[in-house]
Amino acid sequence: MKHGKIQKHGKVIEVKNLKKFYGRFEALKGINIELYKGEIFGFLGPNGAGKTTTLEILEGLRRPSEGEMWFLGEKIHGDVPPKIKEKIGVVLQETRFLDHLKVKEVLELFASFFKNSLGVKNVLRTVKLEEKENTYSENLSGGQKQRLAIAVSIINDPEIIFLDEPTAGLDPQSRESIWNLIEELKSYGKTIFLTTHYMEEAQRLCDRVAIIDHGQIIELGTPAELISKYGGKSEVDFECSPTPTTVALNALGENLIISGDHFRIMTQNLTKTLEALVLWSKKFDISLTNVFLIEPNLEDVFLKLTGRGLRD
Amino acid sequence: MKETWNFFKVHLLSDLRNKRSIFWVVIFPILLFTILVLTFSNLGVKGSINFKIILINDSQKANGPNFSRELVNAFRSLSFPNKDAIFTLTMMKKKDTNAAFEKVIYSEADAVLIIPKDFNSAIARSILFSKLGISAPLVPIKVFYVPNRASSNLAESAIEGTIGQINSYLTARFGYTLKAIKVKSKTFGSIMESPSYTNFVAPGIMVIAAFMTGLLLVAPKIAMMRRYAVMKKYASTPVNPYSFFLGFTASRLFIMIIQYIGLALFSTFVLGAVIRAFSWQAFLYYLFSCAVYAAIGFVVGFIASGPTSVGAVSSLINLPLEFLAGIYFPLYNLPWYINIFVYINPLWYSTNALRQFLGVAMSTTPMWMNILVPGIWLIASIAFSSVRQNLEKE
Ligand SMILES: Nc1ncnc2c1ncn2[C@@H]1O[C@H](COP(=O)(O)OP(=O)(O)OP(=O)(O)O)[C@@H](O)[C@H]1O
Ligand SMILES: [Mg+2]
Repeated sequence: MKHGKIQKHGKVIEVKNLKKFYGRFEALKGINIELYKGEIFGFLGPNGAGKTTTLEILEGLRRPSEGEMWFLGEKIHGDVPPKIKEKIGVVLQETRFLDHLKVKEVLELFASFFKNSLGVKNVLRTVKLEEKENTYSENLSGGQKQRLAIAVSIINDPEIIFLDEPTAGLDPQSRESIWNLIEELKSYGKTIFLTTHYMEEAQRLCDRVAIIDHGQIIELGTPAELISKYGGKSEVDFECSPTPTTVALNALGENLIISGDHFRIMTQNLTKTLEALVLWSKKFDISLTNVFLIEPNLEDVFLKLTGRGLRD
Repeated sequence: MKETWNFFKVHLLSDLRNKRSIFWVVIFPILLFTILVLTFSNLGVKGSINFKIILINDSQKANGPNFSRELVNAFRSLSFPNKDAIFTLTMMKKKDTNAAFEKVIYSEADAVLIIPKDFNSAIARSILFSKLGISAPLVPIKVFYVPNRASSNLAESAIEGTIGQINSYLTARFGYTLKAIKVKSKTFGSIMESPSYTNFVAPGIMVIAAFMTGLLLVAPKIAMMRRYAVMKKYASTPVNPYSFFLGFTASRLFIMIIQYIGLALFSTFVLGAVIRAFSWQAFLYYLFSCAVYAAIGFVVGFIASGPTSVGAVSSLINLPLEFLAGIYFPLYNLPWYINIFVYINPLWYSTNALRQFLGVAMSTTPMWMNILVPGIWLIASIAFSSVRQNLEKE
């Protein structure tokens, strides 16, 4: 996990009191966020939370009803100007390109929109699609399509990259390769704003996460901070052979929960508990089997904060 | 400029590589054209000696015998379904004279016979004069026909022969004769060197080709781009949205121009049509029509809720527009509620105008209307599309 300390220099994006009404429905109820140079900032929230709405306002695709925003220290009045659009890269939630266009033609088209271009070959190498440059975009696999979308978003060597649910609907292997790609982009110093409703994704990639629900940010911090604040206890599950004596069981302390052959220990400090458990097994000459470690995650944080699961 | 050119290029490329669009845009119009010509151009010349004539009785009742009715009856007795009929007679009203002419032009009938307004009184006068021993002027009836089409020419002779017989009967009974005036009117002679169904249908096929491109290469693409946020993706870049619309539309017009040239060559060199394909007026008017149909394509693309419903919306407007445009057959005698659709149908005006500019036939609607009505469609479509486009940005 990369929860490296972010140096809070270089505010890349600042948003204050952002509101959005669709008719009378208030989709965003005053969003405040700051993004710092080189970080991966995540929006974690369920369907309809307002993730896409926020992102698309920042991308200049929707107009905010209220609020202020700054890009690279510059205040935006009205529409996001082309000068800013030169410096951002966008992967929309649903991306498709023209049918019957080759991968490299799609990239050439988008490259022509910007003053700055990294070059089609370079970008294809970054996203590992070199061999597919002559394939029609509609014939790519799901994961490849998403890599093409990312390639298109970085063709102008942007400072900020917006990724709206970059791995939604992908198989674990493709997801892993997209994650690696996003980490690679971060290593080039890009600032990345991504939305997701996969907690693994937020936990793995994000330096800071904002938990958003019903158009409001309900908590913001590094994944580790959030988990230690709201995640509750870790858990060690195991079975023993032979069956431990009562004396042995008592030695494990009062946090032990027994259900039949299964034993469970709830703990705030997983490392310490594991050490103690190993010593205990040696002392009583018991071998541990089927040991599972269950750590609290952002899902638990969300559950705690809203009383609902992320995918309810 | 560079971006416009790029949009032009990719959209053209993506369609030229699509076998389905190639079929509908290139193969289908040629196929339709060929089938129509093979099916209908022979209808007029079946090799029988039965002539299709249209009789328009414009005469008014006068004192004395109703000579015009006698004349009509004489033709009736020589017509189908009577035995040994030499004519198939269709009675039409004076107000449909133009439609009658069109039928002759387009080989659906062989000749038109018109009994003039003052026919009865003129004959009564002649009879009176001849009784008084004064030589009276001959009473005219008009025969319209196409001199250089065999069936029409023969029909004219047959009518003349029939009038000859009627004359001898009249002479025996009343002592006077009718005169058949042969009219090779302007509409018949000068415009069409060799009128044929191929010529008639060629301009309409060009209009259909452009219309199909609007429906098949504009509408679904717009719907697809809306559905899959392609335009949104463009909007997230600094590219000017107008360069997209310009480049995209130009690529459609380019395809339509290719269709025009292809169909002009095909109809001239393969089907032997005689049209002034490279008249600049025809070409300019065609370009104007293309703009209209591209704009209508945009509207369909914006109305449809998604790429799949485009097909439904397209065929909903395609069928009536195409069949109420007088492309395959001249339109006449339609009930008023159908006529409304004809009069608002841009395809009808386009076809009419193009027929005139291609030297096939005079437009049945005035030229200013041929520009005005499709022009209204054009402006309304552009307005609708841009409003919808702006609404979607919210
Ligand atoms: N164009 C629109 N008109 C009306 N309501 C809208 C519009 N776009 C979004 N909404 C509403 O605003 C709310 C937020 O939508 P948004 O797309 O931002 O959610 P999201 O967090 O991206 O959800 P998901 O995870 O499903 O992508 C939803 O309730 C949605 O129904
Ligand atoms: Mg979304």
